[in-house]
Amino acid sequence: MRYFTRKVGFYVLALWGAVTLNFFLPRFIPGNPVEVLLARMTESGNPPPGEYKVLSSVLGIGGGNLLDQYWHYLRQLSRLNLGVSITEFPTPVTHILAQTLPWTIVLVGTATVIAFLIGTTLGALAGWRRSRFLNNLLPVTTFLTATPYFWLALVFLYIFGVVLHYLPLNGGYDPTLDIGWSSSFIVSALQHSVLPGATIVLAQLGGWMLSMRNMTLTTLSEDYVWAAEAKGIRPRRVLLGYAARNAILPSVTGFAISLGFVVSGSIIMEIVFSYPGIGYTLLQAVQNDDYALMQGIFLVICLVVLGANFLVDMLYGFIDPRTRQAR
Amino acid sequence: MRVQPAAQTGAEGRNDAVLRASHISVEYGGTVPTRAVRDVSIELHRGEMLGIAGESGCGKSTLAYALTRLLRPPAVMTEGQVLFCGRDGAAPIDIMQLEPEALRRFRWTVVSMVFQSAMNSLNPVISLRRQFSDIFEAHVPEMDREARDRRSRELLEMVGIDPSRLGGFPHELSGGMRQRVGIAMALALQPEIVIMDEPTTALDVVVQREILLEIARLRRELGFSVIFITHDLPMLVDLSDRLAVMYAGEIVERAPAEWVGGRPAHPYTLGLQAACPDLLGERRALQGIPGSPPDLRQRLRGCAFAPRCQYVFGPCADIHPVLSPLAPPAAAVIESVLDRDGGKTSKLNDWAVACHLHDRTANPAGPPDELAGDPLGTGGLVPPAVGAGLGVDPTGRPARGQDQL
Repeated sequence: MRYFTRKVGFYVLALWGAVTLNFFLPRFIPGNPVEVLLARMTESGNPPPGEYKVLSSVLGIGGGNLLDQYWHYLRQLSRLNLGVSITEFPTPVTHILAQTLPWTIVLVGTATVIAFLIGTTLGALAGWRRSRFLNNLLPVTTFLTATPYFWLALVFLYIFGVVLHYLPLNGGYDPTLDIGWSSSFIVSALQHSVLPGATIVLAQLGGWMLSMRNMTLTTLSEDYVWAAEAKGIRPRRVLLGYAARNAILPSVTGFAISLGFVVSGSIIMEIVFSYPGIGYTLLQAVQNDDYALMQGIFLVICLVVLGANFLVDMLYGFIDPRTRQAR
Repeated sequence: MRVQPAAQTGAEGRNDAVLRASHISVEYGGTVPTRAVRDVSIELHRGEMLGIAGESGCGKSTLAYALTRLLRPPAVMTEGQVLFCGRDGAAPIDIMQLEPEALRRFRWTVVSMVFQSAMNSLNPVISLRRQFSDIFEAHVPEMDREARDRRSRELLEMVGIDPSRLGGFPHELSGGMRQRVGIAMALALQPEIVIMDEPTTALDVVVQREILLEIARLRRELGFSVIFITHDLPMLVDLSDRLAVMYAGEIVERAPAEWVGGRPAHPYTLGLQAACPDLLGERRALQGIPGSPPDLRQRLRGCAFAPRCQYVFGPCADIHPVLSPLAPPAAAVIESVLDRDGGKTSKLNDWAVACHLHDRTANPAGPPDELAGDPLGTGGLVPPAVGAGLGVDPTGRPARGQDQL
C-alpha cells in the first residue's frame, strides 16, 4: 500500500510539472496566435475594431500578469476547457481531441499491443529452443524494423492498395458512411485500419523479438533456470515460470514507454495514410500556429505517457516483487 | 568445527553402493577442448557422506553435474556410465540412458541438489510457495493445493524457518535462510542422494556452522546419501565419511575421511591440509601450494601435480600415476587395526592414491613419513594398546563418532 501511495504521489507531482510546462512553453515562443488569427481574417476582409481584445479573451491569453494567467489556465483546465482551435475556428479543442483521439488510440494502441505480444512470444521461443526457423526470421523482422517507416508504409500502400486493390488507400473510414456503431461503418473502419495497423506491427515486431530473445538467452543461463531443470520441473513450466517470466521484465518497461507514445509516435503513419487521428491533427495545428490545439494535444500526450507509466509501474510491482517495499 | 556424521550408525549397509559412476570424462568444447574431468570412477555408498575436495577448477562441480546429467553446453560428457541402485533392490538405472521424460522424473525424486549460491538458485520473482509447489506439481501431481502447502510448511519448519515465510520472496531472506530454503527444497521429495555443491562457501563461518549442523541432523533423521563438494579439506574431514581429493580433473586420493585427517598419502592432499586453518588442532603457519593448476586444454604428461610438488622425483615427469590402493606397509597397519576393530575391513581397499611415491618399484624407499598414509602415525609398527580401539587418532584428537561438538 505504501508503494502504491508513493507512486500516486509521484505521478501527481509529475502531472503538475507537465501541466505547468505546457502552460509556460508556448508563452516563451515568439509569435502570437491572436495576430495569426487576425492576419487570416484580414485576408477575407477587415476584422471589426476591438477584435484583437475579443480574440485574446476567447483564447485565454488576455490581461493580467503571468501568474494570473497561469491560475486562469489551471481553472479552465479543471473544467476541461482547453480553449478554442484556430484551425477549425471556433471549435473547442476538447471537441477536436474527442473526435481524433479514439482513432489513434484504438488503431495504434491495438497495433502496439499486438506487436508486443507476437514479438515477445516469438522472441522467447527463439531464445528457448534456438529453433532455426525463428532465428532465421529474426534478421527479417529486424530488417523491417530498420527500414524507414514511411517507406515501408508506402510500399505496402502501393502493393496492397494501388496494385492489388485489396485495401483502401487512405482515411479511417468510408466518408459516405455515417460514423456510428453500424456494422457497415465498423467493417469500413476495420478495412481502413488493416494497412496502417499491419505496418506498425511489422515495424515494431523486430525490436520486441530481438530484445526478448536476448533476454531469454541471458535468463536461461541463470542458476535458477538451471536449478528448475535440476528439479525436474516440466519444460513448459520452466519456460513460462522461470525463463520467460523473468526475461520479460525489461520488455515490460519498454512496453510502458511505447504505450505512452501510442498517441504521439504515429504521426508519420497518420500522414502517409491520411488517418484521422491525433498525429494528423497535430501536424495541422503546427502548420496553422494553432497554439491552443497544440497545447491540448501535448497535454493529452503527457497524460497518456504518465498514465501508461503509472499503469506499468503498478503492474511491475506485481510482477517483480523486488520493487515492492517490504510489508 | 566438528559435526557428528550420521551414517556411522548404519555401518552394516555401507557396502552397497547407491550410485556407481565409472570412467567419467567431461570436456568443455572449444577450438581446443578443455578436459575438465578425466576418467573418474567413484562410488557413493548408501547413507554415507562422500566429500569431494580440491582447488577451484579441478573438476569437482563438473563431476557432480555430470553424475546427474546437468552439464550445460559447452560441457559434454564424452565417456562414462552412471548407475543408480535403488533401495528396493530393483535393477540399477543407467542414468545416461534415460529418456527425457524419465530423466525429468528421476531428477529431484532420486537425486536433488543444494547449490552454491542460494540467491541465484531461487527464482527472485516468484514466491517460495510457488517454487515449492512447482516441485510437487512436477513430481506428485496428485497432491492438491492444500497438501502442497502443508508439506511446504513442514519442510520450512524442518530446516528451522518460520512457515509464515512461505508466501515471501527470496530477497526477503538472509543468505543463511536462503540456503536453508535451498536445503528444504532439496529434501522436498525425500531423495536418496543430495548433491551439495559448496553449499556454505558464500556464508560466514557462524552461519556455515549452523548449516552444517542442520545437514548433519537431517541426515541422521532422513538417512539420505550426500556428495559434498568443497575446497575446505578440514571441514570435509570432520564432516564426511569418505572423501575424494581431485586435482586437474582426476581423483588423486580417496580414503575414509578420518584417516586422511590423520595423515594423507598424496602430496596435494597434504598441501590442501596445510592451506586451511584447523579450528581445533594446534596453531600452525598456513602454507599455500605454490603455482597453479595446469591448463586442462593441454595433454598432461606424467603426474599433473608434479610441477608444484616438493617431493617430485624420477618417474613423475613422464609416467602418469594410476589411482591404486595404498602400498602394503601402511595397508598392513590398517588391516591389523581393522582386524581388532572388527568388521570394518571393507574400508581397507578404499584408501587409494595416485602417486609414484607409494609405488614400491619406482620408489623402493617408500613415501616420506608425512605421506605414509598411516592413520596411527606409528611408522608401520602398531603398538597393541593403540591399535586396540581406534579410539585415539594420531593428532591427539578424540576419534570420530565418539566426540561431540
